[in-house]
Amino acid sequence: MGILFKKLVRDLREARGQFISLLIVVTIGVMFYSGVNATFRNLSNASQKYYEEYRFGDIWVNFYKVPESLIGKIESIPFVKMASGRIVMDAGINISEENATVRFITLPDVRENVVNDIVIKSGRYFSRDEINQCLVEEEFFKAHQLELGDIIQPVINGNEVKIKVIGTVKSPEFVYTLKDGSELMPDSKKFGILYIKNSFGQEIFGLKGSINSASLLLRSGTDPETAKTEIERYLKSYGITGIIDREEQISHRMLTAEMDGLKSMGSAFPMVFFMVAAVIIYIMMGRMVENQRVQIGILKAQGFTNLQVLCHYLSYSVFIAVTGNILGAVAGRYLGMGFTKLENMYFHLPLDGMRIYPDLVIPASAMTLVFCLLAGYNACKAVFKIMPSEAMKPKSPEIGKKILVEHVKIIWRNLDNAWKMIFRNVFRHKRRAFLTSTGIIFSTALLLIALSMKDSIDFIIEQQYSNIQDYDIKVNFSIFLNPEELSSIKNIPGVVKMEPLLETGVEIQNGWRKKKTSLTAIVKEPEMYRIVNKSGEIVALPDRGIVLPDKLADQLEINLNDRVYIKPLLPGKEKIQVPVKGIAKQYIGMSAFIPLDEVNAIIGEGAIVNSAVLRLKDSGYEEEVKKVLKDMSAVSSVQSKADSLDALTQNMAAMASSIGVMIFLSAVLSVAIVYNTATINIFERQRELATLKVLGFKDNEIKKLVFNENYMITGLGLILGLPFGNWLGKVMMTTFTTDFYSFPFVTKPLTFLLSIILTIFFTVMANVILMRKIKSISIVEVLKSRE
Amino acid sequence: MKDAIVSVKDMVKEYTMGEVKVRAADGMNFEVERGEFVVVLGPSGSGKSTLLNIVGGMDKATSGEIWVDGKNIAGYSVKDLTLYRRKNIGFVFQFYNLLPNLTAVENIELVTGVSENPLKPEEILQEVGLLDRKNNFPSQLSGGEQQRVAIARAVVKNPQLLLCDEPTGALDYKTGKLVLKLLRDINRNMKKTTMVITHNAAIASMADRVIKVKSGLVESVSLNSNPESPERIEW
Repeated sequence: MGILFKKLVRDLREARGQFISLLIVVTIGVMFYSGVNATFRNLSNASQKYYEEYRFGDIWVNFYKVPESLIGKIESIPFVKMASGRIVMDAGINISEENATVRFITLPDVRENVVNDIVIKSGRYFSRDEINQCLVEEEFFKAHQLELGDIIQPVINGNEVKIKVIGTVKSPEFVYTLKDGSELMPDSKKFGILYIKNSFGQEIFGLKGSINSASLLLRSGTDPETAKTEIERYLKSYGITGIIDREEQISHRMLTAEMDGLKSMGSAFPMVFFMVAAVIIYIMMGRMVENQRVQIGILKAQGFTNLQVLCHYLSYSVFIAVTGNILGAVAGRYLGMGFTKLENMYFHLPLDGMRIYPDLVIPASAMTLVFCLLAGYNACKAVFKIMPSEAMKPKSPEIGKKILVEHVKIIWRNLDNAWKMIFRNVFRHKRRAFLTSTGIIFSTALLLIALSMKDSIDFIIEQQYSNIQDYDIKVNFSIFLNPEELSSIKNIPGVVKMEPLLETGVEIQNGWRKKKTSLTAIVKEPEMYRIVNKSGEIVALPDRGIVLPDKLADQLEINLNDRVYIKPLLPGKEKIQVPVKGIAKQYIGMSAFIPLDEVNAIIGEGAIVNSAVLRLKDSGYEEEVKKVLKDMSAVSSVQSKADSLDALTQNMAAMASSIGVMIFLSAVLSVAIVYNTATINIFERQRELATLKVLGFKDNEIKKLVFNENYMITGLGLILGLPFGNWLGKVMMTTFTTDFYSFPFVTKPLTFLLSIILTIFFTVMANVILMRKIKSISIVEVLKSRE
Repeated sequence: MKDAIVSVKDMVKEYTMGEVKVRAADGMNFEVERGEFVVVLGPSGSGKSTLLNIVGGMDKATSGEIWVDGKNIAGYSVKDLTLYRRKNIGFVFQFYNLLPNLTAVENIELVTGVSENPLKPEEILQEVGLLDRKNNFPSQLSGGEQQRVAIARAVVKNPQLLLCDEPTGALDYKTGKLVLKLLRDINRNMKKTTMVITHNAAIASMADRVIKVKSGLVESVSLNSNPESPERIEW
């Protein structure tokens, strides 16, 4: 087989353009597979280790106020392994000319093991001397260029409190630092965590001897759902305002979603590449066997067995798979490291465990080998049919025959002869045209999905921030207020309109199905905080009853006008039955809505509010109004729409790069497949093309024959690829949808157009490379002899 | 009165085959007069195909002058040569080289699309006696029929020169003679200067002018005042 190996090497050299493009496709597939999966493992291992070492909680229970001693009781529940009590409170802060929110979390005055522990990154734990010490979450510390020993002054109940920064920390609880589920992206300038002494927290929040939050670790093997139900039952009389398990915890959920995304990306993308590689191999090897039938005949005549000949041709596939794997594994190694670091810019996980996973090469090679060999075998099995005697005779001429389109006389008559040739050629090689189109379909779909990502985000922003939340500033209060008490806010210069809101937690129950969600009470005819229906139209709030978000209605199988039980998560409240009077669409968050007038009937607390939305005369007043609000008592946080939008746009850069990567991948696929099939096409028809040259056709006229065929196939791929991409995108977006976000798949007409233009541009690129091949066809050599 | 349509002076053509240089034409000199039926005779490897390729503008001479219809094409660029072929030359090949995807008439129409002054495809098909097969694909035609379509394709553009490279080489004796007669008729009736390249000495007897080529040189040029009719030549 030594000589045959030489033949292989020479054949490869002759068709190097094709082999290189094929190799690129395989290499990228393997690179993506190993790189993305390594990233997944790195992040997953790092987070697991992190969670374990610093006792990331299993259950969080929030209260209004319970005595510290309750922790002992909780710890005596058999399935609870460990419990820690603390105070968790949000407050506003003016820092480096920003209005930010900080979350205070209390820790024992003297260091001891707690659930949801911290990692000290710099500085030290609390000391005995001063009471007003704090440890700042590292990203917030960095974002505001704080230094150890700095004094920061958050506003608690209207008073500025001086606190000294003594260290920076990280916690498994805030891998992804989001304030609440309604935010999409972390913004470390606007939100941070401050850890303070327990005694200090009790003092400044007026909670002597009390806590408002408990973090629990469960004994292994305990089902969190049952644990939650048990705990709730057990602590019924203490007024639980919320109880969540790990799956519902924001940071963990974001991390899991990101890793799920990585995992599906790590399998879907390489699959597409391996499939396209298989298509190219199939077309290319089929051609090669056809072209070398004389050689195959000779080999067989010399006594080579079918199997030997088949193995020889399969070794081309193996060669590509093996080389692609080696290159891909090496490249994937770097991709894995780089990508892990890039992803970790959001998570800040301790990455000391980052490593290379050589075992990832195994599934990657298995997949490539299977794809390459299957395609190769199917293309080369024709070897068995080749009879030595026949193979060495010249091949019978290509059969020209009428194709279906010719029967449509109106079309056919108006085609010139060049187009007739193109049509007949495409139809003569139906399978090849079909397979090439398949490659284009994948590449177009990929392109469309990539480009639509921006449209979808734009759509959410448009819906959420102009239709649903059409306010300029939202202010949250730390206590319940009577709407009349808000008049002072209305009178702040620059505020033109104010709508009070109540935001609280409820449990909604339909039969045995129940779910905790938030409840927002809004004014009857809201102008700023509104609800929209499924088609995005703003709808009025019904006089009575409740409006549920569509996702919740689906989950609990609730229909319009059903009656559901709703139980406020306030101490001592009982469930009451209300009719469902509307289903609303929500993209961020999941909240039920009632009119403010109904608060008394449903919650039984009179008219109370704990939040308000404001409209300003113009954006010039924003900073001023924010400042006035921050200084008011009872204000816990102030956020402006501009801030939320800023945070989103900042993170667009990250998205732009992933869109760029996807466009690049799609370009590789398109160019590789068009280049390969057209190279074969040109090779097969060089006699024809040479004849045309002799007849005095210019290179430009000849290239049209080949290129227009490429455009036709690209066109076919586009026609099928765009709807396919649209469908695939919808499926993909559904998997991204969680309780907190719905990602609609939105594609603007311009995006379709752009996908079309780009796909055609990729074909043009392939054609430019092919032009050389057409120019180099030598008339004399081709026509001198019979093929 | 002499009216040379082709005049070749000191034509040299060198090929580089791998690492070896081959002189396919080593200073050829000859002339062809307007309207003549010329046979270029020589064994394989003598340089006769090279001669035809260069006169036909498919290849460029290494040195020398090639005057066709008063223009020296030796200095033409690749682009000029393409236009030259398009305008002046009709080719007929040994293996017909019809486009398999086009029917007989479409193969001919293809050429009329790029010619300045073409004849009517149907009329030419009538001329070569294949009007009834005009909608057949090459694979549905016999070798002789394919060659007749190829001749029609060469003639339809109304070229100055009709160049035929072993036009009977792939055909049987009887069909070969029919094709030769067709070429002769076209030469006489349509006044097309025709050059036929062959290694078959018998064909020489039907020529007005015979150019014998050997080892890259023109060995002799002879004029035949009384050419034989193609029906009567035997080989």
